[in-house]
Amino acid sequence: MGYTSPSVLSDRSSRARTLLLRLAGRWSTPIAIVIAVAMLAAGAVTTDGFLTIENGKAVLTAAGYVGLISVGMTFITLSGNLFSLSLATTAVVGGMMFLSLLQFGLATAVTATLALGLAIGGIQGLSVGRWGANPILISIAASAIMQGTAIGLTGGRLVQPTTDSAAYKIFSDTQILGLPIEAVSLVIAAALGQVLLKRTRFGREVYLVGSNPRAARAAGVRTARTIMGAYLIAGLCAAWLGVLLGARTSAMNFWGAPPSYDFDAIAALLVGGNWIGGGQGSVLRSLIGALFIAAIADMLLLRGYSLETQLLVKGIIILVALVLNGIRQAESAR
Amino acid sequence: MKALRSPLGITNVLNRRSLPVVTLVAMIAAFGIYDHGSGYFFTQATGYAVLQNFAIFGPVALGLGLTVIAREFDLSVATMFAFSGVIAVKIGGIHPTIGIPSALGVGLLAGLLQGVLIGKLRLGSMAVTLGGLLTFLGLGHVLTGSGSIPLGDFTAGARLDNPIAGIFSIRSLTALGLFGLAAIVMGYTRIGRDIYATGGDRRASRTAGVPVDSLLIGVFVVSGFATALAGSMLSYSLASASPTLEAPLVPAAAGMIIGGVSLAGGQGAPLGIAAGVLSLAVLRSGLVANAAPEYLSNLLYGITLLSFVMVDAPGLSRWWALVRRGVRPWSPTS
Repeated sequence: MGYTSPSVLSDRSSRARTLLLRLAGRWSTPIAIVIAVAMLAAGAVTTDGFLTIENGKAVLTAAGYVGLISVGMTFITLSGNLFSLSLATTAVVGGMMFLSLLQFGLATAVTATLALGLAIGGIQGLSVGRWGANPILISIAASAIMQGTAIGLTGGRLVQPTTDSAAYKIFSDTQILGLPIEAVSLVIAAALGQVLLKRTRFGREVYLVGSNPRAARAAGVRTARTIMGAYLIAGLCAAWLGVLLGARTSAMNFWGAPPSYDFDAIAALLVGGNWIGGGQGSVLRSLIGALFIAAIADMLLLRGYSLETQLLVKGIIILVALVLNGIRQAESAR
Repeated sequence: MKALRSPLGITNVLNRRSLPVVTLVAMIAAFGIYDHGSGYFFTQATGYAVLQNFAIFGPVALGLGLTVIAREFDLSVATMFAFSGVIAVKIGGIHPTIGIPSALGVGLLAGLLQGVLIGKLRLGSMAVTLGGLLTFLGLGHVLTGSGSIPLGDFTAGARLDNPIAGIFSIRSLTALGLFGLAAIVMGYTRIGRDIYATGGDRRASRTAGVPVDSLLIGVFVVSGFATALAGSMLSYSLASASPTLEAPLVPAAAGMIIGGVSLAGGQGAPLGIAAGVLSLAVLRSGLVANAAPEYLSNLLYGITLLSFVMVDAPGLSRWWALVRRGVRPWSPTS
């Protein structure tokens, strides 16, 4: 894909396209960053109540759920496997598991939920990493299987803790530095993820596998194991989100459409400037993307715009990020 | 056509051409034997239900399948399905003769836009159609105010679903007609051969003068059109439109792969996809006829998709070939 033969390159329209792409490839990203920062700054100054510490905390908290998923998703994307559409379902199933196991104690419930997340991530990592299965379809299938199993086991009813002990409320009640657990989790997960990517051998291997799997294999990287690692991290992040969701809501089921965390996380990834083809980007970028989207949404809310306007603006931001991403992809594929 | 390297070693019987038909016959036989004369399965009602299910996810599978045959992937069908229903009900109201053509127009236009980005600018289809997916989702929410629009009038739906000759309806005949048209184009015209060539070896096709760019635009236009057809007709059947109406992505993708479409591109045929989709429609209707709960068919769809994506994965057949030759396949470099 993306190959251009010499005979086609001499074609005039093709040359124009090449020039256009080269110019766009070089200048579009810096221009977009300047515009984004200017927009954010202008909005921040003109919106009453935006530049307060309380509002900063609100933005961080709002970015929490999606941010956690996007930290895990970043590893999958960086390893060259596009994205996963099963992480939101993993979180919901994890939350159900957490609530139903609370009767055996808080520690057991948390451990089992995280183990479930690792197992779900591991199975997908195995099929994608070792056997080269299509990552998107594997994740869609895994999501359907998890949803079907969960509905079958619960009979579609609400899962609620059967124990009287409210020990699990420790998660939703705890505040650190005045920040709720969602925000703290996001900051810790992003910091750990960034260190893992930039300071460890595993992290370097993720970049190498994502940008050139053949070279990675030739260099002695166990690509299957690296991809497996990326999926395990994603599963773990999703399962932890499940624990938080369970603790916050105290009741979970699969009625209605599942939450859109997967798409929102992909949006955060793209807006942060990660390359969808893999090998370029970082957890920090995803965090910035998630915070940027949350800040814009918060600004629109403070200015009293409707939910639909917020969705529309979010859509436009994502679209711009995607176009920039696509231009980079086309430019580097030549 | 290359035989499917099945881990079961029955390659002589099962290949991409025969597998869909074998699956369909096996599925009907299995329910027939389970039913053995109690008269729940072999009824006119079951036949009608099978074709009604076919009308829901058949066109989606066909559109998706054609893009995969051309070695691309149209992820946007996931939300185009619901979005086209919103368009139909918003513009046409209770008049399907206005609503459905409007939805088809929007589907064509959306496919054209995505196709131009993919074919002419050579952007990756996964990134472009992800953008489409998010855009249609956002627009659907904006147009409906994030709610469901009830039509309040079932006459249009009743006309579309009115049984013809016992088992058919306008809706299922339209879907069958679409498949017939696609089968003729793919099997007997130069366009069809060129699409197979594009998916098989794009570089060689381009050098040989195949209009690859236009064909890519074409398959995305068809995909948008087919999905909009299924989505808008379903909206009239349900007499409501909602931006969160879940697209039948899992059965569509599973039906397409059972139908012999390879994710590596260049293989598969419309009639195969039809047989694959019919197998899954038989599965659902058979389960319903036996009063099985709703989640069971979704769970089985997920398991089917997972299994077939695994069998389609290049690594698994390589691994199996090594095992048969007595090589220890768990080599440290893989």
